[in-house]
Amino acid sequence: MAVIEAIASVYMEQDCASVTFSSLGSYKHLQLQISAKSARSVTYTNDDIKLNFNGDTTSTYAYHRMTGEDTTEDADATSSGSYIKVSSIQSDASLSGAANYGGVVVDIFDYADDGNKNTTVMGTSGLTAAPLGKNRVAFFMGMWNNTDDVTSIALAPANGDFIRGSEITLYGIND
Amino acid sequence: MAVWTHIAHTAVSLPATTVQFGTHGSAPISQSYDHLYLVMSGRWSSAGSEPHRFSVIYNGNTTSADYSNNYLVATSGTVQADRNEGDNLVAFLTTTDFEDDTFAATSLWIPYYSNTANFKQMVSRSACPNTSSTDNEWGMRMTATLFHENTDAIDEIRLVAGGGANFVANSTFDLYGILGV
Repeated sequence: MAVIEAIASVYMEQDCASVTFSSLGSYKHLQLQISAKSARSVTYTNDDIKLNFNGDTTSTYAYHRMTGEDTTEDADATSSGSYIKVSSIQSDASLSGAANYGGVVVDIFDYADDGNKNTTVMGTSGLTAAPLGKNRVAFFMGMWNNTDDVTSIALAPANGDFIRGSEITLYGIND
Repeated sequence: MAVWTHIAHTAVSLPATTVQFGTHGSAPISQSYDHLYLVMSGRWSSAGSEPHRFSVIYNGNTTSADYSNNYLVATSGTVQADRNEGDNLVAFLTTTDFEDDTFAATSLWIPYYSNTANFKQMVSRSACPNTSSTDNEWGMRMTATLFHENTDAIDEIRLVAGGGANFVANSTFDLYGILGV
């Protein structure tokens, strides 16, 4: 068996409110590779993705991140939220360019460990406007305060739909 | 040959001060790959309101002066960068003061570990989440750690919990070898 296998890939032929992966297979870790943009309004040039496990949208998530936005660094934390904030993707085609999508890699550790651990997520992202305008690089993490094995993963933009052409692939990593 | 090969898996069933892959000289990590990638999920057995930092030892070399690092870290709303000579601390572990059942996630890359011409650089990312947004009760860190004793290939990696305490049970460690074409 290969160490890394593609479990499922979604290419959005049209704008799409959310993507759910519900057949995760049996691996040690999971990884999401995302190229995406949301329909967030023209005021903003980036958006976040809401990540939920097992359909749980209660306040059982925490997330933290550090960002560099143009020449400004920042960090913030949320101790109790209804999702993990996957930061960040591109938004607003009129400002970022129609063909410009943000790139995100998300690692989901020990997602099926028989109830021993809360699920921890770590990821990085980058989006650069062309021509050079509002840009962002982010390093983020999150946790689901629940020791259940992860059986489904739902992703939705924080604002509006995923724009057509967004793509998300889920990989499994064996041990 | 597959690009990725799983070399070893360690799941700590009892608290352990150290997790080791390979033994320098006598039972080395295979030198057949280009790069090493280590994924771990770890928690420290002792108390501490802040994330605990663990260390790496290559090839049995415990001389801290042979290591240095540079890192970017956030444990509050302020992102900081710093560097240290003689420091082999690489990444975070949650402590017993963190939310129950919560383990830090860390990935470490060692590019061209079997090269014998250059010093070895390791690049790591570590996430230490918590159900707290209070300063220093969570942390995330990106670290570049340089081993500059000599240009020997890396054939042993030791991860040391440190601080007189352990990696707790259910901490897991997976080492992968990556071979290009």
